[in-house]
Amino acid sequence: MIYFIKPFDGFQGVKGNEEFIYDLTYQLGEDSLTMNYTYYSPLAMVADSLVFNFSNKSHSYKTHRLFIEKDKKDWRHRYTAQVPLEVIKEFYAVENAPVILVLGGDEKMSYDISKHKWRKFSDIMRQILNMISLNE
Amino acid sequence: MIMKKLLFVSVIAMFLLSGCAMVQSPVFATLYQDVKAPLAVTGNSGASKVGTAQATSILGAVATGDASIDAAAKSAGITKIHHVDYESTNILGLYATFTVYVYGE
Repeated sequence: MIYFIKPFDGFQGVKGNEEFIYDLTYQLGEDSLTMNYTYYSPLAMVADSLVFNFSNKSHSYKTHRLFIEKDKKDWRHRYTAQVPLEVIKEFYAVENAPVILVLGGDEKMSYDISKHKWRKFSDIMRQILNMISLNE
Repeated sequence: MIMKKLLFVSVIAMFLLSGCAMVQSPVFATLYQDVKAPLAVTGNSGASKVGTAQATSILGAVATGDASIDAAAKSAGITKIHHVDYESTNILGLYATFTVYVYGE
């Protein structure tokens, strides 16, 4: 059984309008999920890690490029990372909205989410993760 | 004045009847549609990756997006396709989406 969680675009760049869109794929029985994500920036940036900041902790994962291409004025980056299932469960369990960072060399892209959006989305995600646990 | 109103109503009716956002689906509904269906199957084995691509239509007047199998496969780094599904949604003919899901390795 393979679970695919549709692309979510609730996280925004700290400057306001930069999009960060991600989807999750989980194969039943595995201990990690695949997180594929897209971000935009005016300059092409080679990322090396994806970081989740929540509950005063930082979780960093190696990330791999799927492609980088020009999209109108910006560069569209598509990357992938493997994230442990337990970390994803912790991530969606937190009440305070977390921050997602994409790091590459000296460059950093930072994305956050409004409390309202987070409460709504994390609740749905907890239900999905609970359903996955029930089917393990 | 009555003629002007009639003309206005006719134009609106024409727009609503002919300018609906339509989308491919095995079954159709006029009020609300959210249907998933198969598109293709290959002889390749294994599907641990999923990629998507989407196109959107608004009022049947503006349609944008790349809902190709190639775009969906590329979005997840899929090089061997196992099967392809699609999902079509339509709300009152005003807003429609067509999403392709590619499964593979």
